[in-house]
Amino acid sequence: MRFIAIVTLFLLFFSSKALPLNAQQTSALDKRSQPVFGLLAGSSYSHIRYEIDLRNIMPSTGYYVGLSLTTYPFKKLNRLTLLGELGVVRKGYKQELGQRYDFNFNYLTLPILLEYDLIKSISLQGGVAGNKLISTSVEQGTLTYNNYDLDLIGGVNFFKNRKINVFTRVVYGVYSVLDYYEIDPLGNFTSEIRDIKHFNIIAGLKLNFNDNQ
Amino acid sequence: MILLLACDGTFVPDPIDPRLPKYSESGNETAGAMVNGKVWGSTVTRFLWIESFEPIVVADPLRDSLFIEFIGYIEEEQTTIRFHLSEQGITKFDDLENLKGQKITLDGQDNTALIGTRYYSRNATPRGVGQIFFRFTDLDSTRLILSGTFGFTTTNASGSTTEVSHGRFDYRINKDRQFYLDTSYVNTPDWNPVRIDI
Repeated sequence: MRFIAIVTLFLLFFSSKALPLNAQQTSALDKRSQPVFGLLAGSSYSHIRYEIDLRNIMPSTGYYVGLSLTTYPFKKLNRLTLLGELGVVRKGYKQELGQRYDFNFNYLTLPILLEYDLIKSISLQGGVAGNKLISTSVEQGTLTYNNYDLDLIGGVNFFKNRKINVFTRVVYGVYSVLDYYEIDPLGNFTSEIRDIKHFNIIAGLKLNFNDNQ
Repeated sequence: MILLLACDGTFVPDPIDPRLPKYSESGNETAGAMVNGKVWGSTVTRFLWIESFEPIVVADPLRDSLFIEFIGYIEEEQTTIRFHLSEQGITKFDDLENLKGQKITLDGQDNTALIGTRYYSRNATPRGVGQIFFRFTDLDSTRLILSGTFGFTTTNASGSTTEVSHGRFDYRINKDRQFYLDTSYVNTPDWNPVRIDI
């Protein structure tokens, strides 16, 4: 419920940025200041960071698809843009114990990024993303794993002013997604575990529906 | 109605070792353990009126003993884990709720465990030494959720050992179908089943 409220606020905020206040104000703005809608799709190298005794862990392949809205809220800092995105990201890992076990986690994700134009064709990105777990490949996975996560994001966007951009990002999960017990061989509950954090590297394409050139 | 009759246990993989079921207290009707490095697993299945792999609990008030049997598989072989506990004061079904929080040391004498094939010989001697922990119980009028963990080691006459580790169970015990209050089920006073080599 809280996540839905955040998504709604996000959409309202960026919608207000997307809609010109009136014709006079619009004409006064630089063409570049108009918001840009985009569609993102990419694949990811997906892995985890952990301290518990997880054996034979391997990375897996995930994806990211979403919508983006690029706005230019800083009139005096025209190299700086604000991006809001709404998408679905698959994170996870694999475990090999005689057979392969896939742990895939599908999140509804809400990244908010600042983008700085280093040169004309290269921009640096940084920001955060709130995530809501919507499904997993594991039986009762949404009961086993924490439903909310937060990411720190850093990345590079290439050819920002073209119709199609190329982007790459490092996505660093902040919170542990597993709350569980450490159980010794005899069956004693020796400690509580808070562990497993996601780590993703995403590369993909972004299609801009209107450009600002 | 058919869906109810076909309701099976739910295997939720352990997030650390997915070969085993996650420790749970929901009545998932499943159990698992590592046995000399192999996986022993049990998940209750039902189809129409046929139940498979349901655990069995037998209380003997006269000798104040409690007998619990989990039926499962190691690879393709049906394998049963049994616990024989004494002085738990179980005289009726509702008394099983008192097991909650009981961590019972298996000394191989008064309290013991065994792993073996479905049918036992009276002439073998291995008696498991280790522990069973009834961490959670939840009782209503006709069923009890019984959840816990176990681990034990048995040694046979030739010195060969079987190590049962990381055991966990989360069962629903049905009062009418899985609980017995007599001594006929355990038909030998000296409970001496044979251990299989795993």
